[in-house]
Amino acid sequence: MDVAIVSILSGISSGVVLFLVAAGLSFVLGLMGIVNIAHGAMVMTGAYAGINVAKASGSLILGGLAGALLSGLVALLLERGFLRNLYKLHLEQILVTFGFVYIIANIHLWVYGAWPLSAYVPPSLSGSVTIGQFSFSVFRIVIIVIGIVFCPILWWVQDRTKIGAIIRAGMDDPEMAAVIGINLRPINIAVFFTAACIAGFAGVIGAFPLGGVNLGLGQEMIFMAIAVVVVGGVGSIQGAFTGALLIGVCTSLAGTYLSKAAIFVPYFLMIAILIFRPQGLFGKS
Amino acid sequence: MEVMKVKSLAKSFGGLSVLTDVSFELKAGEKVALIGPNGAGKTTLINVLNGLLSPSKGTIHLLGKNVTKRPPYDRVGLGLARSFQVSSLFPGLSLFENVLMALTGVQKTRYRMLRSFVSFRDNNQRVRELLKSIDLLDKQDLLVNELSHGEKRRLEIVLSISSRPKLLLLDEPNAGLDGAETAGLINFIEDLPEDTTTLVVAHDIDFIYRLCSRVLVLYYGKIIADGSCEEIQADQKVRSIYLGTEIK
Amino acid sequence: MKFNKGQLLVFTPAAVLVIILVVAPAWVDISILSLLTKILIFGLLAMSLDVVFGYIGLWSFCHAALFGVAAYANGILISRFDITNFFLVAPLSILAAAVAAAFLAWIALRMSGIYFLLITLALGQMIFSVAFVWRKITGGSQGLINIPYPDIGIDFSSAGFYYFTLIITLLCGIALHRFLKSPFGYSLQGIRENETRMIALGFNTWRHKFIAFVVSGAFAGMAGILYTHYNGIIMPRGVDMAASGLIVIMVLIGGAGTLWGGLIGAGVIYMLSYYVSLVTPERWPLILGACFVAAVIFARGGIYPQLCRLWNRVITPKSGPANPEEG
Repeated sequence: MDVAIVSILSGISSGVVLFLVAAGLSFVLGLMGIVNIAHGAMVMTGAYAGINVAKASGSLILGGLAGALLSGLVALLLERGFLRNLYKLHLEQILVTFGFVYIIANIHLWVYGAWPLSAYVPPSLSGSVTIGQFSFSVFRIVIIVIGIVFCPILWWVQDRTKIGAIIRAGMDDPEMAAVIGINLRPINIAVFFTAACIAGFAGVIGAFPLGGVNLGLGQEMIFMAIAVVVVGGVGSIQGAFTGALLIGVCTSLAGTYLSKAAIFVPYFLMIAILIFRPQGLFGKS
Repeated sequence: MEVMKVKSLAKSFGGLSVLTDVSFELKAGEKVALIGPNGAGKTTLINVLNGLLSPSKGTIHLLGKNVTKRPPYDRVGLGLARSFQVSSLFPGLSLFENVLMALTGVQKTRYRMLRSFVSFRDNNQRVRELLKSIDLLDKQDLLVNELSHGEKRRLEIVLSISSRPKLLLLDEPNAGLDGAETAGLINFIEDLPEDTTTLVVAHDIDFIYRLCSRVLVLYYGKIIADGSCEEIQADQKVRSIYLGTEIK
Repeated sequence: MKFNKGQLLVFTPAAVLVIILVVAPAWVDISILSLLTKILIFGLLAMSLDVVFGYIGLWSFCHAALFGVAAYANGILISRFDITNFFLVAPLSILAAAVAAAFLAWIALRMSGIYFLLITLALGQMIFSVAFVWRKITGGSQGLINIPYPDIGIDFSSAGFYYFTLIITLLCGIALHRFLKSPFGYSLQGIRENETRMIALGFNTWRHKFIAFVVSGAFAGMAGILYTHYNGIIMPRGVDMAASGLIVIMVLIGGAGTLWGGLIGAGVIYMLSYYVSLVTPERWPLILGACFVAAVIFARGGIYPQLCRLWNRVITPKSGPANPEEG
């Protein structure tokens, strides 16, 4: 029983990290029609920079902000320099972001070297609580709390604020939005920037549940994020949250009870959704 | 046996009911017009008969067979064909290839993988005949996007009759055509085999008079009148729709 | 078959290229020969992708995985089960790739456009994960090693294997060419140009796409088989999403929807890789990434159509008034 609880909690903490990464991808896809394959690389960018800053300064918050900022700036460079010239050319946009995965990974190799980077855990949060026979780290609990706080905030922004309404309108019918006077260009850029910032931040705090960051993080993360978007549906906080937690918890439980099969959980969930509800759990038909 | 029998057909999109209760029959060789105000659901009806949309309620029988649940390509195999209001062609292919593609749609040839597409002599002959009948044989190697609007409409019609259909659904075939082109279109349709049943969506009264012996009037999802051209012209309900007074 | 002078002229560059490829072993050293073999193998893979990508217009990002299924099947049958006869193992491996393609198509064809792309991307990665995790059969991240040259009863030198690859690649290319010029092949283009009209003309477009995907997978499998023998090793790393993306770039560089463009694209990428690696191997991924970006911005339909246009201008006799007095 304790095994199950620890497994589920562990899955929730991984799910929260996944949620932060996938929410950005989902909104960018819904709003701009862009699949940013380099989104996973944003996580890596934020993780490497942020963790190094955190270790140097002793402050996780500073590290998180640094990581978020750097990721946001890289995303801005990508969007303004390249993607905006490929407006509505979806395949071309995807291939450019694909290329950037290589470029960013290689730059990281150049700057940081090939050794994996261990997570930064502030001393105050490095303890653990006991659940039955097992110990569960405090840091993971903090991550779960961050998720519990962040999700409703983002949901509230989505559903109850003017900016949220504008974003949803832009996803639904960009031409109509333009006709009624909404200028989507700055909104698109802001969403793209914010998505990357959140992803970068997720990289800094998510390094712990992931067991450290390495140069392959970019690729790993993008698949998980794609799986979340397929399962949860495009363009909604509730979709990203549900999809992420579902995948996180199922993967964790599979890892505990079935070991090797765990890696396939996201794919099985994806295939099942595609067969039975192709638009995703919260997607529109 | 009727060529087509439609009963209580309904189609709604979410909360919007476009077709509410459509029933009619078409006999072999009939030339029927489908008219109605814009937004009445004429193209939706064509899409449902064709199979590109499935009805929310009702049944469709084609040549005695129930095709309500059958996909469009099965209905074509049974003898149904349609043309599109906005020309729906293959822009990157030549005229010859466009017509050849349309021909093979109902042939077993379409699954052959080893012989060249352009090596089937009977098909090639028929393509040339069809292109000649719309006066575009000399342009057979041009790409579709090099044609004028009128030429594209002619190609559009030819694509839809190439399968030698028993029932032909034409969705505003004269859209965007000038007088001479329309006259050409009328001749073309009149030259079709006698037993081809035709359902034409149109607005132009003269056009309808020349071609059709029967008129169906679709008004907000229902067939409210069904008769000969003279009967429909005299019909009070129809007159008030086109002249503006509301029907109670 | 009769050829007129015009047709002979059109095929001349291709014939010259084939002749160059045939006599190459006499002139180049072994590393260049190895490079040419690699180009042929990945050119075949790119050609198989073009069937789906260029001709139907489906953005498939899983072809490296299909290549990998056959490669692994080949490697597994040879190293784990000791079945070495090429004429037995190769068809089985191709069948494995075709089955994998059928499975992927069955799931992915529910979607189109970028969603099709994402699904194939993820499913391709799933196959990569199988290779990674099923260590007993696939050797895990180490892969399978010591795979010898194909067992067809003769002893292969590296030039011998080069000719083997050349012959198979050319035969496959010709087969694909015929396939794409057939009525079925043309229907794929029809689907790309206007799928709704195809459906309204009587074509079961899902079935056509499915069959084409399986055929494409089979040819990708052939490339995979050649690769295992070429490399001697098969590892998960060559069949992941990065590999699939690279093949897409090859198709784009060469020209989508041209078939033979795939060979050209493979040639460009691997020759670039060869020369960059001589100078600065650690920076190759960076340059490769830049290639992706450059290909997208500058490709404009690919190299092959440009070459065709160039050659046509060369062989078309110039016309025009030579002398005003002659009128």
